[in-house]
Amino acid sequence: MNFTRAGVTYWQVQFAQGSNWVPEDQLEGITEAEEHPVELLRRGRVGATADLWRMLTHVRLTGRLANVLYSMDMTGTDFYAYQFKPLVKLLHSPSTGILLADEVGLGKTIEAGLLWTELQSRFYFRRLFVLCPAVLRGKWARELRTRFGVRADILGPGDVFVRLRESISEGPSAAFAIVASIQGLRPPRGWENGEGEQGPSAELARFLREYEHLDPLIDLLVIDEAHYMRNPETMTNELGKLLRGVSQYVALLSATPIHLHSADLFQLLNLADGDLFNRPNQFDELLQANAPLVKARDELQAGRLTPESFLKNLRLAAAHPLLAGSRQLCALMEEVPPESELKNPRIVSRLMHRLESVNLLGHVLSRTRKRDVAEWRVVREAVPEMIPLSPSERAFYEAVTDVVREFAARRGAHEGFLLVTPQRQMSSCMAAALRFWQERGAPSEEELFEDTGLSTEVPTEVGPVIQELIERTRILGNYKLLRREDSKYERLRTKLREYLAEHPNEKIVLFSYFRATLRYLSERLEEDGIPTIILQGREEDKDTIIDAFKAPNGPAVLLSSEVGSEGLDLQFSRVLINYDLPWNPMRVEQRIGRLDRLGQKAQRITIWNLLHKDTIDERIYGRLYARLGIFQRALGGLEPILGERIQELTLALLRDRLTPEQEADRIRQTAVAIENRLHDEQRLEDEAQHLVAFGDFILKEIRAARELSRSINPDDLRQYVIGFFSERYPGSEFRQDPVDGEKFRASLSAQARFDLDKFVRRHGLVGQTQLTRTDVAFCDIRFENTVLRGRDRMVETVNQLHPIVRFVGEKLSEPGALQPPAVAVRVSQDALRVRLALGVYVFAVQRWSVGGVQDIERLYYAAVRIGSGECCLTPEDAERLISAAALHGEDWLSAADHVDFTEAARLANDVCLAEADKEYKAFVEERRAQNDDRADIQERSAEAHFRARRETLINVHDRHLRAGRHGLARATEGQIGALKRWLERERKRIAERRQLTPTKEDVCVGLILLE
Amino acid sequence: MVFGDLREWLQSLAWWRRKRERAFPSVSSRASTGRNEKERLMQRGRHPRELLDFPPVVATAERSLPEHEKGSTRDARISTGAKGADRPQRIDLIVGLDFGTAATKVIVRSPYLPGERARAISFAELGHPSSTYLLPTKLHVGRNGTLALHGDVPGSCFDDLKTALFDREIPGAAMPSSVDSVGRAAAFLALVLREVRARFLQAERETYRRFQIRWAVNVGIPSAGYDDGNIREKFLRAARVGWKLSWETKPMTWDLVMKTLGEVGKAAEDDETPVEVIPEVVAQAVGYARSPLRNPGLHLLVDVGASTLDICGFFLRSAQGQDCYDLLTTTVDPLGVAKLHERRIGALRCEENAKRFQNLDALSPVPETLGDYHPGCACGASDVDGDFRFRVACLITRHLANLKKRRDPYSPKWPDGIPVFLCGGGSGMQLFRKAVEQGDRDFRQHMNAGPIQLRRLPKPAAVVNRDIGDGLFHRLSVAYGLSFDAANIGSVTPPGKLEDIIPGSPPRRDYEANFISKEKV
Repeated sequence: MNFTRAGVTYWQVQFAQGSNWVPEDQLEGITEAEEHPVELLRRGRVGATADLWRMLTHVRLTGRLANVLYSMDMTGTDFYAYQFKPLVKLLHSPSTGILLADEVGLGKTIEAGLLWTELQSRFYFRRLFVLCPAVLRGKWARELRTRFGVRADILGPGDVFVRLRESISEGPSAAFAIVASIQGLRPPRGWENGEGEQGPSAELARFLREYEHLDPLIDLLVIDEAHYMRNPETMTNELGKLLRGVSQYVALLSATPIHLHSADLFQLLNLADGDLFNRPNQFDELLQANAPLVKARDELQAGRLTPESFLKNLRLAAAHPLLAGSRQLCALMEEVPPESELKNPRIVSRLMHRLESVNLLGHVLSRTRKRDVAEWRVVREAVPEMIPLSPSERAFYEAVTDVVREFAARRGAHEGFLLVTPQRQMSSCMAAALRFWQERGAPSEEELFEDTGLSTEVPTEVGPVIQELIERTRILGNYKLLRREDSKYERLRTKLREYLAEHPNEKIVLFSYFRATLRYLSERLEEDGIPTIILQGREEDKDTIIDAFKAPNGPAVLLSSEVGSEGLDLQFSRVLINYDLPWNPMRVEQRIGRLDRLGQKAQRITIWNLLHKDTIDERIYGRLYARLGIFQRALGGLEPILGERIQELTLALLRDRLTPEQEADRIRQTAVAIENRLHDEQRLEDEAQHLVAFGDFILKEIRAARELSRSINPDDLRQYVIGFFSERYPGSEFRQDPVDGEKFRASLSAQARFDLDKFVRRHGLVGQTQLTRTDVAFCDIRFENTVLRGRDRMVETVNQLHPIVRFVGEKLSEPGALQPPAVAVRVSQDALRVRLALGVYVFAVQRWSVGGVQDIERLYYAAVRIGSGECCLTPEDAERLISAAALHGEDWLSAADHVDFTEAARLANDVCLAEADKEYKAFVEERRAQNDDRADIQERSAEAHFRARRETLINVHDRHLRAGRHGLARATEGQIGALKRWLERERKRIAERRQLTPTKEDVCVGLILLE
Repeated sequence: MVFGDLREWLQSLAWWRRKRERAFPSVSSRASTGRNEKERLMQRGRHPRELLDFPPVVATAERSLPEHEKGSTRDARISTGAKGADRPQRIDLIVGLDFGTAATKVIVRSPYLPGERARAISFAELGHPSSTYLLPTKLHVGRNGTLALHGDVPGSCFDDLKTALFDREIPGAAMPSSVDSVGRAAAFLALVLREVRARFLQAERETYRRFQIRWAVNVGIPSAGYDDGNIREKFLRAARVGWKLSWETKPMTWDLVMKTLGEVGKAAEDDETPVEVIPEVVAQAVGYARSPLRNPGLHLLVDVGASTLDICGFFLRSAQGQDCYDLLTTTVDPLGVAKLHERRIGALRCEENAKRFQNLDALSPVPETLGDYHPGCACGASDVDGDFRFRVACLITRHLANLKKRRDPYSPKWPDGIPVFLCGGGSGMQLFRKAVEQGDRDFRQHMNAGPIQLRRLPKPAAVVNRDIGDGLFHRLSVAYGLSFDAANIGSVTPPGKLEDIIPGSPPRRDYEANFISKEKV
């Protein structure tokens, strides 16, 4: 249909959103086939910035790019590169388990949360299980909710059993987040045979065993304080293995040091991946195998590497049994670069990465120390306050110490730490301890954990000592008198008054390990007009307490137990009072760690230690803590070393009747021993840090991901979604809120609702969006790439995981839906973080995908400046330039005035894409070698697992038969059958994935005017 | 058959080329690039840049026409000096001119370039202090008799250029009696169009300099006037004479205006001049109709102007791939912001405050409430705001009732409430918003309908001016709608040509069959 107006003929043309009249001379001819972007560029048919942006966004949202961190900026956490290290390592690892062994205070919980968010984003995982000590359950649930938008249920063994069983029937739509306690889920001994005490935890254990070789029930298992599982004889360890058996990924969290010969480390690695780490000295071997590679890497970095030494080191590494047959090593040995190339930064960088990747087992462990974190600069200032005992206090102190020593001598050393408890309580506050004994008696298991930090698997036998004390309380002392003559409190009150008079707006945190002390101090300080607030382990709503304390008119002093404040951020305060002193330095470190955290604004934090003069505490402080510099620097995760020594020391101090001088000597001996041990450990850890290829490469990658904005922002999501629905589903409305630009009132057309609903059902996403509802006219949504829930519950958050984004991604991935464009963009130098020469650049972007044991995708960027010869920018600079153009560029409509398109197309094809093709070839070859190595590891590991497990099951089977339990024997036969089927399936899976399936496609080419 | 094949082929061509533009409103498609021409020029050993430079534009009212604009009134080639060169590629540029009572707003669009690039014209020093995008609708007569968009000769300024087109007798001071309202409007529009071309090409020289431009102009007309053949003819004639005048290189004088008026015949019979008049209500709606928000059916539009309040109930539908706007109810009443302001000044009894606000011009923001004119004062000013609001509310009620009772009783939108566009310079004032809501409430006391859904269009991504946010865009939305190609805006049926629907009788249009309302179930 046409008409003519003012001499111009108009044709009616039908578009997706209706028809338009178009002047005849504005129509262009097209060819039937899709044109290659280089051809488009040659013919000058260049598109706009938005085309480039849309292609890159689409690839980022639908691809699983190796160098994009999908969890970045999605959570309620600040950005610290090291916190992404575990997840990058896990993604590179051939194993599905990782041990997060960071030092205290670096945020292992956050790292686990980021790991979950990343796995969720990449693989759409929906089943999270957190196993932790009972007292930490609330903290986990809170952290998951506030920082990662995960609504976790705290469940007991019965409920866990029910939930996991339900999830099987729910199939792919199963989704849960469970927090459960180690104590609660720990099965009783004999659970497997149905012997002994039976209960929900035994039932759960049998259920987990039954599902061990079927499809995983849990996507990610997080085990906090994993060192509780270090003893393979315990049921706690058994629980860990059972849950591991039904989990796809596992993250173990522990501040355990990397002690090369430590059996503990082996046990934890064994739990992380029992099939890869099945020999106690394996980690040691791993380090030995790595040594020549690390040497080569260091020489390379220092510019000292020669091709000869490179080859020598590689051969040395290849000679080690662990690396014998490594395809990556073979490939490296075949391509030893000439000396001239060993100075080329690009080649050096890539070689370093390849060297770090050779031994993939190093990725099973991630460790960061405070000293490695650049953000840490706070100075700790310790102020000891030695207070003389009053006569009544002296009498009470000596009387109680005598009772405890007498008891210790009678009962022997095996009573261990428990004897220490009353002594420690008294050291905290005499009046409070006396009152507590009179009123309460023996503490519960949970109270004991909070007060002493003791592992909960130790039986509670503190009763008899307390009982004896209670019996003697009348003669030991008088509460009223102790209260009246409380010298420590008097000093506290005086100091507090002075300090608050000078700094009326300051907030002070006071720690005590004994909750009776906290209550006592609260009463007394309130009486004296100093407002306080108590925070201890049992408090349900810790956030409310912290908020009240933080408020400008809130109480000046927070009375807290260290367990109570666990996981909380108190860095708005810079004064800490240790009202008592835990003998284990790790507990002190945890206290200080509340204030000395990321985000502490003050340059210096003051640690005020209150101690009674001429007591064991004073001697420990002066001779142990001061010497070890406990208050000045973070000791890191050396708890097991310190714990053992301190336990020995404590017993010696209490059991043997020592004079003060002897006590001092004994403490000094311990200090020296610990110091030596610390020195050794530090050296070993430094070496380990070096050896296990913790590589700077990973941190560099993480920082690059941030710098290059390799994450998804709300604008990306908004334009991606709205643009798609505008095109494909006329009648769909996205009405922007006049105030909040990211908020929209969305109403999908009937067809859009229908198609989205189909998609949602097909992918088991029912209930995740209201957009498919037909009983409401619209749904309020907000484009925000966060996993956190918005304040307004009525507004649905659309992030990269939202069904609608996934729906768009799937639709646009259909053949022909998006054509690779040629574009012309202009961008200002200001939008770039690096300075590049101004001028016109020709660029190309390629997408590489390699399927195999691990599917890897990445985008490759190449750019060359017209007139600069044919020398490409580095891929990083090219990415910077192209990303800046996509994000901040404008359409360059007059490109034709400045550029010869034929030449531009030639450069795009013969230089940029040729460069990309060359790199792609190398990339694929590297992947091939790595893939074969991964497949080998997995195959060996599967066979090892099969053998070990079959042996165990055959033994169990024989035991059942011998005991006449034929039913259980049959069940075990079934398990052996399942194990065989599992191995067959694994073999097939690995064999299939051993075949590398590389593909590449040209995503975009074009011109960028950098001005 | 041949025609059919050709059409199909053309459709596929255009579909390919335009797919991206339509796919993502903010996203554009590949631009075509005049590659062959450039290649040829380069073969002749000349860099194309030297062909494309054109002199800078000096934006003054009395300036002579830039060199590059001289010549044809139809095909204005930007590039000078390309003598002997092949014809550069053509490009359409459409001037959307919102001829407001108090302010004129202009947006120029290239509908066939990637992203349908549109630029609002900033009039810089000629613009109103509150925004350079608002050009006061005033024609100044200089001492030497030249006409201009600015001037300082007292008493020689016409500021009723638009309303005068509705009148029969036109009083005028420094104007020969023979120059009627059409001439004055034409002179003003001519000056505006000159400014627009110059300023646009200055701002967009980089983009358009290699194109041969084909201009077209759409001027807005109040919806109430569109039904009146006489008024429509006056607007169209003023626009077409203005267009012709705008290409004159001589200074603008009454004589020149008179001469050109004489040369241009009856506007309605002229098919060659690329100037059209489009009802403002349609222009206001076209941005919506062409956006992802489009939802065919009944709508109400309330345009709060400086002097007038235009209300229009319209029905948006498609017929043979085109948009059709059936204007069901239209009214224009002197209830604009300036009128409200006048009443408030009249109500004040405290003279000092009244004086302070007396000289506020029609484009300056008016205080939100009467109390803001005299804070803390107890002079006992009568409640003119309440009265004003009541009058506006009554109008809204009347429109809604008329639509529900007679004009479109079967609309499926009634149960959920019909969409209402509140736009125009005064639409941000609470008084008008509350009045509309009040009018709706009153209406619903007697009629079965859901509450109205107030809507506002965000600034489209096609508008390249970065300093225009959603807040200012609603003042430019009519100009934006006018910048669409007239052929694509769609057809307009005035109210007089649409009969009432008597309840119980069959629907007026067959398109109603596409909707099933509750009443029909």
